[in-house]
Amino acid sequence: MIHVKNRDIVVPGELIATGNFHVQLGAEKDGENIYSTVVGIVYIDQEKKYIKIVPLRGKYVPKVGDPVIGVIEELALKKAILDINSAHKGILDIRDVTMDRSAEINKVFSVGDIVYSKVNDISGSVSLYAKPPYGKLHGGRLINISSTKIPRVIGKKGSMISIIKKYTECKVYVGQNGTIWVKGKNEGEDLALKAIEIIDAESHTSGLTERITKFLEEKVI
Amino acid sequence: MTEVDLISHIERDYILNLAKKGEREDGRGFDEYRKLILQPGIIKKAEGSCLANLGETKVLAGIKVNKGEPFPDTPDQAVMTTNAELIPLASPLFESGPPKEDSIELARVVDRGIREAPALDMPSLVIKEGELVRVVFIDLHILDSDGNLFDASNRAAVTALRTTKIPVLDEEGNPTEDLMPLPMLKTPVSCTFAKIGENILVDPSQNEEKVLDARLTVTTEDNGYICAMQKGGDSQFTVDEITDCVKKSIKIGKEIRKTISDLIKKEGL
Amino acid sequence: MELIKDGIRIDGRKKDELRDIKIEVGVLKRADGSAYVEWGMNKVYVAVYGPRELFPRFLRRSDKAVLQCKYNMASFSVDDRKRPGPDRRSVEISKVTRGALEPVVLTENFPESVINVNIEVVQAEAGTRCAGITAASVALADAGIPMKDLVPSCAAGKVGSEIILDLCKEEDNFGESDLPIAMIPRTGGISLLQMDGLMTAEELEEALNLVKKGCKIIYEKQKEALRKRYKGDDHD
Repeated sequence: MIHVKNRDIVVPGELIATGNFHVQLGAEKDGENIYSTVVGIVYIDQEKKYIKIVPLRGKYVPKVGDPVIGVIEELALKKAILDINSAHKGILDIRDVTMDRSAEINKVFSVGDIVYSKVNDISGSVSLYAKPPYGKLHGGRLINISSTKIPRVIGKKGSMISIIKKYTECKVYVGQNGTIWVKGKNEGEDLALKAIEIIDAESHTSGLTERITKFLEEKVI
Repeated sequence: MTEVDLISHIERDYILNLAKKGEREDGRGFDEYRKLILQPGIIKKAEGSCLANLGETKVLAGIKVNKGEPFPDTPDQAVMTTNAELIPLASPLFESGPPKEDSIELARVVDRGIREAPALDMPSLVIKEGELVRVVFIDLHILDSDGNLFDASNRAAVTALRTTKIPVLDEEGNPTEDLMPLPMLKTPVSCTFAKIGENILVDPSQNEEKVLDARLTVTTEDNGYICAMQKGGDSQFTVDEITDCVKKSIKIGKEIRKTISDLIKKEGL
Repeated sequence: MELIKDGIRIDGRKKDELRDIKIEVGVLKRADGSAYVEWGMNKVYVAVYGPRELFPRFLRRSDKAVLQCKYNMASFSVDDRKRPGPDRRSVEISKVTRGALEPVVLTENFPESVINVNIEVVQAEAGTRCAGITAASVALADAGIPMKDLVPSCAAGKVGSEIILDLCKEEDNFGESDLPIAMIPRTGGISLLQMDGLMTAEELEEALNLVKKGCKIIYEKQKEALRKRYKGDDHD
């Protein structure tokens, strides 16, 4: 038995369903009952019997393989410490930045640099990897949104991000941690950021791809 | 250490480049303040109060008035103290504990503007010379720290003072049922500037504060006198820059003073 | 002073009636999650930061996040100016607040980190710890921190020979006893329990029943405030 409607906004402690469902995310089982643990949007697949609640807010939870964009907060002897909008700092060892064995971290980076990297390992600390195509980002603009909304910025099979790139003629790097970097002409950058802001605000509504396309079309012409 | 007060090079360069073009991150002009919203009287437990919103910066000022002994060197003056708390609620960078440099500087800059103007008629708050005077506490509670705490605190404090009601005392110095406003002589208004590269802009946002080279707060009173100044930051100002900031402060001070007076009149406070 | 007469209390309420309660979510920009509660004359802000790295390092727990709660009162929040900074009362309230919230927060999801709950009472008049806990659990949810449930909280007490809900200032000062409670609605568990004054076992039972009714109403207000905040996104 299901106690909410598909795509409802639910809050912690809310009874979502009773019976045999798989919980993918954002909920927990207590006997037969399934309760929400976050403020989020509930998605129920009646046939496959699964429930997931996509949180609307929260810090980034690192996953191996995720691209992330972080800012260097501190340099140690052979490593850089990055803020990646998570419960823990990201650690970037010099060996994961360059092949050059004689390289020194403070020659490669300085505090305040923005680095595009990949999560390499999360056992113990969060270690990052930034050899090409990853690495330090130069110029452009940054925007931070809730990491939980990044899937909407990317879109199904990257559809949303392709649209943004196409209309704004910007390079766009998306960090799963909620930080997005865009680089292009000034107007293009402004427009790309505006589009991302709209996605952030309207992430839980349907027909978003069409609305963003329309918004960009109107602005570009 | 909990968090680092850091701005990335990309965000810093963006703000610096905008400033060179005469622009700001939030689209304001260099001489333009963020929106000011004042809500006086929201704390009924205090004799006076005001919540000031300057953009997203929120400061709540509360005024408490007690009775106490005057300082020995000023037996004919009331006592006034200003205290600011950068409570951990307001920013990921603030920690609890005794006041640190920043909150002490903030309290003292706000205090000086009010004391030197002078905003309060201190002699008239003496109950018995050398023995008993009114003690006015100005407590500044920072709720959301999003740039320019100086000016937000100043607006909250002076609006709270101007709307404070204290009991009238009888001949023995005991409080009666009747209330009176604090005897206010002036409304000091501070104006804070950030020097970013060669440019000077008012009311710095949180990001602008992180990139500024130097900061200047100028407080002026009703007759156009300067009553307090404070330079901050690691760089310097030229004399011309300072005189220019002072002129702007006088002009902005007039506007803000009018805003506060109009509000008090409109709300009948 | 007669605190209750013909079932009507000194402030006009019935025995089982709460004061007016208003909850807002997402009121502070800098915080990861925030809430504001007006409860009678009480005005309370809560900001949540984290989960984030905890310093000093030795405070870290390898099995869960540390929940740090700080309850503080503004010096102008009470009739007689309070000296700024923590006193013994606020340290104790911080501690019991942590105990009230800890059972619902899934701290095991964030080992080695800290979640900070900062409660600021800017106006106080009886029942600030309950208002603080009520606001704090909403602010935690707003910060996106996974939790088993929200935590509504309110007090019951004894005035004369009557058991009443949500004591006002006079009832708190001159009544027989005060019993602040926080409840976890999903399980019916009690995560805050303090009492001072005198009460029989039967009266305690009656008081707990009354609190349960009160918490149910507060719980609905908490949920409503959270939904309102996020439904509002639709119209941006």
